[in-house]
Amino acid sequence: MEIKKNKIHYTGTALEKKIDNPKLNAYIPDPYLIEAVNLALLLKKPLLLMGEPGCGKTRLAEAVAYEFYKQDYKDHYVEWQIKSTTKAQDGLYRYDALRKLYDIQGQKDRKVINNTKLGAKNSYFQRGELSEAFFKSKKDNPSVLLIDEIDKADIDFPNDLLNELDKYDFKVVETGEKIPPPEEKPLIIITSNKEKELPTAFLRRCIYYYIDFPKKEILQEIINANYKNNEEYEKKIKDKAIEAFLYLRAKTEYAEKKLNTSELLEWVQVLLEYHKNEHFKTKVEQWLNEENTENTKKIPFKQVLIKDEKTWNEFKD
Amino acid sequence: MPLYDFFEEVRSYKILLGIDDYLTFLDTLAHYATKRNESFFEKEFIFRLCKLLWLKPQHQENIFREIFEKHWKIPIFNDEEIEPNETSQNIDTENKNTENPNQNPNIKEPKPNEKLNDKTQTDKPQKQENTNQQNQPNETNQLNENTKNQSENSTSIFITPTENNQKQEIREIKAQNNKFYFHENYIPFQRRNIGQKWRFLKKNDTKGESQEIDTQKTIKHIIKTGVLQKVFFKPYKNNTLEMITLIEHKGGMIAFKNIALELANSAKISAGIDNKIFFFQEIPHIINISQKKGYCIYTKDDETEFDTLENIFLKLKKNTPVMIISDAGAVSNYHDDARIQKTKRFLNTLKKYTQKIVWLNPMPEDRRINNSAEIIQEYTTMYEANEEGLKKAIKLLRGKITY
Repeated sequence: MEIKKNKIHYTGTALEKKIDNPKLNAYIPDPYLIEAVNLALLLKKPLLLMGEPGCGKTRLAEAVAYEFYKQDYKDHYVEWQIKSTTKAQDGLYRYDALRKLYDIQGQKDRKVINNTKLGAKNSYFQRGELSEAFFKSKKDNPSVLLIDEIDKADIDFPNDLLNELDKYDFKVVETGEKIPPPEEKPLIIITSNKEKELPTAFLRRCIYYYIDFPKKEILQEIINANYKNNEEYEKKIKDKAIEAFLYLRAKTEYAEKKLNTSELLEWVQVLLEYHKNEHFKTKVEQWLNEENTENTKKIPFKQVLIKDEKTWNEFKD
Repeated sequence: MPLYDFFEEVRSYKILLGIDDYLTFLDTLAHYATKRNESFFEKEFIFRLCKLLWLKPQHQENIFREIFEKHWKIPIFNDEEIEPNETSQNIDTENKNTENPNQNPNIKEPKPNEKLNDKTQTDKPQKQENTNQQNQPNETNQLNENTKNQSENSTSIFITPTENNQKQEIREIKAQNNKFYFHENYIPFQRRNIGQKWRFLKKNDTKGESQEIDTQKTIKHIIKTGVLQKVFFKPYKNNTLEMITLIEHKGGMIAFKNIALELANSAKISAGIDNKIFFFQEIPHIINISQKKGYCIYTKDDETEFDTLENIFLKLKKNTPVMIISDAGAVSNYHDDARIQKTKRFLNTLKKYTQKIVWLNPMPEDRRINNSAEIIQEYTTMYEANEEGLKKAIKLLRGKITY
């Protein structure tokens, strides 16, 4: 296998802080995750991401696209949200055979609508997300495709994608047209929640990375990057929130739904907002002044953090 | 570090890797070497690269790490493996390492050509080396010891030749002495494979909202009227099959409870079968309380809720498939006449409601000799609880004869 040098390189620095236009939250990736992204770019293989829900699997693709293309990132970024009924074919193209049939009928009966482009090959052809990513990918400027939650689909779904992930070309059966491979292979980021096992043949084609729960320092960095508040009480809220969050997470290690970064971000936002509110300020203040961090009963707005019944019953007021 | 040995051992732990995976790793390493303009890599970097390229979600990282650590400590050639024609290479490596002590080299990445050259160079002076070895045995031994001592921090990646029978033998002996890794998620089948097997057991029926285009009906309508007036829709086809799984979950079956649950749940998850799971101990016992009479089976594995076989079948169609997962006394390995008779009576009652009954036994077939299971298997169709057994069981539940 020949490895060509990449002109494009992911550093993970573009979203070090929150951005207002386009509205994007800060994203601070693990150095090893950066290494995995660059390896995927180098080997032109899809990057398969797994990890607990809320650890930032989905957000990585957008962050990578933003770093590569800044304001125009949406022109190079494609999201394919997988559902239980999604088929691999949907990602390639959709062909509106019914509309064609309708148009043929209309022409036959001389009731043609003036704008009908009957006969034009592409008038009934609509690109799917995968072919959209192929189309957007230009030389030295690979597009970024996110295949989100691949495990939601049928167990044969990944197998149906094998050829496309290998050769990056496909044929439109209805027109006989062959869609050539893109000038540059797109960077494909696939996420999975491990609900269904993926086939070995599919896994072999991917680079696999498991996003671990971040360390305390990285958590602090993430919180500070997303909520740049300089008031003394705000700093206090953030520090205390991380401390309480880590304690709760350790306590709920075997819970059905573990606490994760996304919940922490939402919780800090709630705490900061509600501290400004006169009605809730006292509740937040009381908790801030509580010296015993292990007193989980006094943690305000726990419902943002805890998502399963068992844990809720354990820690409710 | 003998990289190829590491790769082979990784493969032996059901981590399916092909030679292209190995070559990709070497190419990537070579790429990083040219990019960094040096061929020395940190241990953790090599581990991460191996992990990214070779490790897949179903594998355990700790086992992978252990294998890596074990091989990392092995120098390219240790004294057990040493061969006369490799002595010069060993010395060369040693010299290179000692020449650059400040660099603290961990990995040496040889270029493919370099490897070939090494081989040809070493072939030529073979005889000379042999004589040298005889004359200076102490020196070589000393060097080997040095290599051993340094191997902890300084090793080079090197592809060991696979064709070498002698080395293969040594590896086999070594493998016999190796400790075994116990995989905590160990099950005798792959979830995905059993899921695919369950898919053969289906009863497709349309239910729910009409969302799919009924092409046949639409075309027929066009032919009839000569114009496309209306598009017909139909509901999606779904598996509407119901089945019962009876799991023995106490006694000798404690160890197999997770396997049994895995089997039963995969029918629900992968094939959409409405699989009703029930539990029992040894054999369902008969109860006779006011509203509930008959064989008692538990709906929860903590035995807090129960129902009778008769009540359950009242709500189901006739010939609903039933799968029993139990060892039938093969674990305790003795002949229990009472158990045999009770089982016989239970199976006869069950046969009143359904003819599709199959028994999966987690114990291997050769363990069903001289114990209760040997007799019980004559009253029903019993297969081993593995991929092959499940395949046969599903075929039987579909109503097909299996042998």
